[in-house]
Amino acid sequence: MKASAFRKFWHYFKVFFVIKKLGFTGRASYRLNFLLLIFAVSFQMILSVIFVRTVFSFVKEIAGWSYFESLLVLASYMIVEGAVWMLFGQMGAIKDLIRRGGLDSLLIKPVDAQLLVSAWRGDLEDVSRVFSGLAVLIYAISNLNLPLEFILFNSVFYFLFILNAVAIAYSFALFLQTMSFWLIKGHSLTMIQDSILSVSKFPTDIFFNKIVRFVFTFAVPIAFISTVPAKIFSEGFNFIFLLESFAVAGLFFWLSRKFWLFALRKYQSVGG
Amino acid sequence: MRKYFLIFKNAIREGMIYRIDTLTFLFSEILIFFSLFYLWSSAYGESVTIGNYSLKEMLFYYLAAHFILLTAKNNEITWMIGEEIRMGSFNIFLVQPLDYSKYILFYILGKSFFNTLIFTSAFCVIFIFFGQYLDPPNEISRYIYFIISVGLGFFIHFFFNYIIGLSTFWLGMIQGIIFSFWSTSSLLEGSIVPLDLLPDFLQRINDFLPFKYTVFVPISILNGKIDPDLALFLIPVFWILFLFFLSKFIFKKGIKRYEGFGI
Amino acid sequence: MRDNKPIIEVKNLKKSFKHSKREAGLRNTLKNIFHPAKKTKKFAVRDIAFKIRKGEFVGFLGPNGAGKTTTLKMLSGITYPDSGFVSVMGFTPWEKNIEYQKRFSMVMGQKSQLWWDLPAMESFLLNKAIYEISNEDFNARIKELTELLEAKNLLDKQVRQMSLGERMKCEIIASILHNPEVLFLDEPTIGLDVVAQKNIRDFLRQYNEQKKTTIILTSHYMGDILKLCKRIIIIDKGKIIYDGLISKLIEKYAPNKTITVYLDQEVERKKLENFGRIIQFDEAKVVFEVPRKKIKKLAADLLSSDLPIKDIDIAEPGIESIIRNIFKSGL
Repeated sequence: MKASAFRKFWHYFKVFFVIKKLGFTGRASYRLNFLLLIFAVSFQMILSVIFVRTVFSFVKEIAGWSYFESLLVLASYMIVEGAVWMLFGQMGAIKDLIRRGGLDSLLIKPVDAQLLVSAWRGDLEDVSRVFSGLAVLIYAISNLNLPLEFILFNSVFYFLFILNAVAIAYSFALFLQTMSFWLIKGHSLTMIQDSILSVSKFPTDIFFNKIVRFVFTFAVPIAFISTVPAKIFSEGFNFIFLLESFAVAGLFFWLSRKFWLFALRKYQSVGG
Repeated sequence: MRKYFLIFKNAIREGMIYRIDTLTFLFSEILIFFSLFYLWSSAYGESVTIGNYSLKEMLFYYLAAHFILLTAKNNEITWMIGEEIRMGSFNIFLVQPLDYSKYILFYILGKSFFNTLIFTSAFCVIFIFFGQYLDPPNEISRYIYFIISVGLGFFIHFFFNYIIGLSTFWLGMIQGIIFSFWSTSSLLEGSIVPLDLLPDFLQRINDFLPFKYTVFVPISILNGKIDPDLALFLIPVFWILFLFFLSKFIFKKGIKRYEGFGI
Repeated sequence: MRDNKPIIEVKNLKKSFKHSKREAGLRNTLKNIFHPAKKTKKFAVRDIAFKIRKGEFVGFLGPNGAGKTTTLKMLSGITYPDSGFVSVMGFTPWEKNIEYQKRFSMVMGQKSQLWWDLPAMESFLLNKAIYEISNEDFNARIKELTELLEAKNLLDKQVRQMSLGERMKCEIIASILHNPEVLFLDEPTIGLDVVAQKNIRDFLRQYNEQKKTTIILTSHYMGDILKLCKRIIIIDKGKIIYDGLISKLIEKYAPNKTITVYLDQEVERKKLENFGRIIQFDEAKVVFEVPRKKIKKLAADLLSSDLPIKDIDIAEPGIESIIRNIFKSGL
């Protein structure tokens, strides 16, 4: 039983990898467009930094966060968003596949359809988001005057937080894009996704209203996408946060999968 | 002239069918403003002014900026033009006696018309409930100047987007250009932060560009930080004329290439 | 392995769709915002049943919207039926059994599974990974299929640069790389030119004969069905109106052939009536109608007679017109 589960996992990993390779090669084939996209994405990241810099040129701290601490949050957002765009294309493939009928071809394949649609789109240019995020992260950390052991020790946990954050962002994207099964045009869904996630550019501590803060921490858990990972460097390791991070990630992943399976069943009983 | 009105009407109908898109757009912008509200409120904390804006003035600025983004945004034409050229549905414009730029213009006016109705109503509601808190300007004249200024900004944006859409003739895939342009212009027009908060050198460079006339200038006229000067309306007009002729030129070149090489 | 047991069995299959009517006009669109349109039920498939044995090559024929594609979608597990029984190789298609998915395949004429911007080989490699085909099997299959389809030069060609015919060849290769025992083809030759159609047909015929793959083919083109299938299932308005051999269909519904005789000079009608039933008589032209079996004899009789025959023409009502008539007037 264990062996076949491992084999299946390995098979799925291989399929995911092959699809990603296809996607990346295809995208990079339009060389000029690809370079411009890298520039555009990098520039968008720079814009966010400019914004934070501008605000902090007038104030010393926002909701208890200093300039460099705020950059930690921004950096985490960039890394997570970059990963979800790069690996899963923010699940944008779903609406295209439904609209152009390609979903049917995927349904007959002996691989879970969720894996296929997750991998089907991947915007390689968003790797620059991840790199920009890492650059900002390093810049911020180096300016916080933290002891080296502290940095090294917490980097491991930071990585775990980011993994959970990616899982949460992925589940969120899946959940929203699954609604394409019922809506005609899909552009609006990506817009909602982007705008909700962009709230995670700032520390959730800015929400001085308790109710709002709760919503953005547990109902739509953008806090776990950037603020909580950032806190590991600004406040230090917090075991409760780590547990909550795993719990929220697991819960949302499970919920989004259930919703996806439900939508797929509906799609198949209604037919073309 | 009648055919363009039909295009206009059809675009309105399209807007109504895809009403969910409009609502989600509204929702997204409200959400963004919501987070900016909290951000700036937290940022102001103890201080009274940032730059030369009080908290109320800052929030008013962003409220007005979002209003402009919702009503005068015509970014979707770049995608539309790109698709039509790449998919070949553009061919029909080579044969039919239809001016392409007018077609696109009336289409986006139709789409915007429906959106503008919804958004203006929503904003009126917001204004009635929350606007008082932000000390909105009293003189009707400022609102009129504001609307005219936004209208001019609409056309500046329109021609930029139109030209970028046409660049499909040479580039095929234009996502890269589109995103680059939109990021740059959103900073330079004052959508990200009010322009007078940016470092001086950037502001001076920006004075030579048309972008500030789409967001920053209209809002500054509205909130009284700039007096309504004739130059503020003439300069955008010159830019519009320049972009208009430039677009005509590019269109001609583009057609030649399209017919010669195909896509 | 008993050859008599059907590899595909369908019983009491039913499927209907809900359809909401959207009327044109500005006013109606406004109405729709407040009163969403009513949904009407459309029966796509009503009570269909058939059995197919291993190795058969069956054609589904029918006008648009008859239910052909819907039936295939249910056989491939893409769509769930409202009710009914379907068994393919012992599996119920919509239960998404991985075993089943590895042993069948479907080609949809209007939808492509190939990656647009990449060489065809990349899409093949993807299917190799998905279906877990070994390196040896993969290389052997590629060699075999590209030879049969004359597609060796397409492996490194970008899909978006291919003609429709080339694309369809690659589409088929991609779909049968994993050696499926059952193959569903939905309008595979749609939009193709005559040469490409012939290539695909020749390939399919060879493939079915060699591999004994069970194939169901739907098509608008009678040519496809006539040249490839011995058995034909005619579907109209969701019901099967004929299931059997094409030859029997022709025998039953077009039992006669016609001979048109062009004469140099006028001949008395009475003289001609001896040869066979006349359905048309002009000055220089006579049309006889006789049962198929008797056509050879009649032709021989006419030619060996002393009639001043200038030219002779044997025709049969095309299968197209037969089937057209079936749809028009029913059986």
